[in-house]
Amino acid sequence: MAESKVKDAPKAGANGSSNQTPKVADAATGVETVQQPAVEELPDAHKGGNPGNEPVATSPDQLEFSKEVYINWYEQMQLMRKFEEKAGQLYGQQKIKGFCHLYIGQEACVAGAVSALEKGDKYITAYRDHAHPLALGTSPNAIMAELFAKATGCSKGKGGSMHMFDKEVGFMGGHGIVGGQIPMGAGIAFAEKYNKTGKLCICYMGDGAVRQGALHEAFNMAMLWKLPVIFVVENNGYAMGTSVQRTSNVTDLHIIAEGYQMPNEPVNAMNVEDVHNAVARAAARARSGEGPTFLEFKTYRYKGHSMSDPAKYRTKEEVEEYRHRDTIEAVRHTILTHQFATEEELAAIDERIKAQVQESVEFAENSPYPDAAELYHDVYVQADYPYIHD
Amino acid sequence: MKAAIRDPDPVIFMESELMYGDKGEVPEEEYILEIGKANVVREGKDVTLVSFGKMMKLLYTAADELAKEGISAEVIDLRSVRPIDYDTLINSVKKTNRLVVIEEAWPLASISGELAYMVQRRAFDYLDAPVIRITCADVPLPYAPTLIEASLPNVARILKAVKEVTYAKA
Repeated sequence: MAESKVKDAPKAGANGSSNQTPKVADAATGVETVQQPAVEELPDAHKGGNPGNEPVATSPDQLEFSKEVYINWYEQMQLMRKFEEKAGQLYGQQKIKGFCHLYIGQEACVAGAVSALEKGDKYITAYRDHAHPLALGTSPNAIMAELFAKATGCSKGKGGSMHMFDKEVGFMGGHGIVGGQIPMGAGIAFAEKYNKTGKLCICYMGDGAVRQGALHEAFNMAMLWKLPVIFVVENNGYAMGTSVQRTSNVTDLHIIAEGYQMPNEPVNAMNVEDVHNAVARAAARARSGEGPTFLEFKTYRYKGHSMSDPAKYRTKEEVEEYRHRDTIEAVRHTILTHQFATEEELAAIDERIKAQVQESVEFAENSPYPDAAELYHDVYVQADYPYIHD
Repeated sequence: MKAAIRDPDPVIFMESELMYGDKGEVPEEEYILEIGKANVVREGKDVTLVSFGKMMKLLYTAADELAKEGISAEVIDLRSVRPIDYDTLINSVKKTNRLVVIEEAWPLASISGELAYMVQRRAFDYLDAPVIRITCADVPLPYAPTLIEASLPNVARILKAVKEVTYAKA
């Protein structure tokens, strides 16, 4: 099957049939396969523009949220953005090793959820996991120290970028196995229901994870038992380098939930307001015993360090274009339009966050590595677990 | 790889990502490594060191160090872990009478445990010391460099184990 798809790819391009994906019967296997468009015809998110009709950020005409909420969103998202920019920079300098997946561009997916949920609700995600604990109140120092593999990190330097944990704020990890967090998210929700806490679990995944078999088992049981869980796919259009069109027959990913009669909806996740409202609706369902929801956060990742630069050297048109792309810029625009804060006050917030991120770097650099004796700690609860020693 | 492709049965081919940058000599002409046949990389008489994959690099270094101290180590690369070439290993142990097994995986349910079992089963009377194995620590591999160092096999641990099985002074 896979082999035949590869062979078919150039033909589709040569025929110029890029807008269609005709089903063809594979001669060798007799199985229907979808002809793949040639590589050069795929929309390329890295080249800029908006080839795939990606969601854009907008500033609302009608205000639904208070000044406090907006300022809070701005602070949280700026902290995520500045922290991740710094992490990317440090990774380039090899101060941070191993894997490192940044959240730049997707900040609203977390900020809008945190504002819609309650203290005590649980969060679980995959390996793009620095932003969640930041928004939930974990100290940037502890997250940066974890990236530096230091003993003062939130996972004591044992986890690194992909394995952030902070039980105190309800962040249940950072998980490296694609899709592995989906059944775990359902399991956490089961625990909340079993213990009658009234709390729920929000479970994030990428558009690649949706193709894992574990999702379907977890969805079925979550619906069957009406678990208080909100499944979220952050659909940025690409599973690593592979577009959704190439990995999934269904490209409106939220409708996958229909097979389980699970309520679902697409969300423009470039708008933090939309994220908040969708999560609030899902949370109300979860808390009233109606069970899970599957939300498709339509977002996109962009690279480019200039994204959060002050726009002093840009033309007005460029700034306008940029505002329509960026979730933080949209919130900034709303704050300024409604005079929730002045340019100067926002600049002061930016400065404070910059200092906070810088402090986290110094904290991480000055922290010690974990002692070798730590190897056997925190693996099992049982203090005298009989490890095998030779 | 060629043997795996040409084999009529399904074959799992494992390689170490960390070795992608390594350079070395390869034969000019076509060559095929027989599946299920171990390679005696270096002949020796005092102790047998056996492993496979990336860990072999540690064995070469350790054998060099041991040679400096007058200990002659026979180094075996299993190459294939299913099937395992028990005969080559057991013939070696019958000659050297001592065995240190090195494996990057965890100790429980491991290749090293299997090798030690078969050697005691088939060459018990030839052993002059209990078999020692060196594995990853019995915990999930941590991220911090200090903990990785404490967890993975290394040359120092191999040298120490050889001293133990040869009853040499450390």
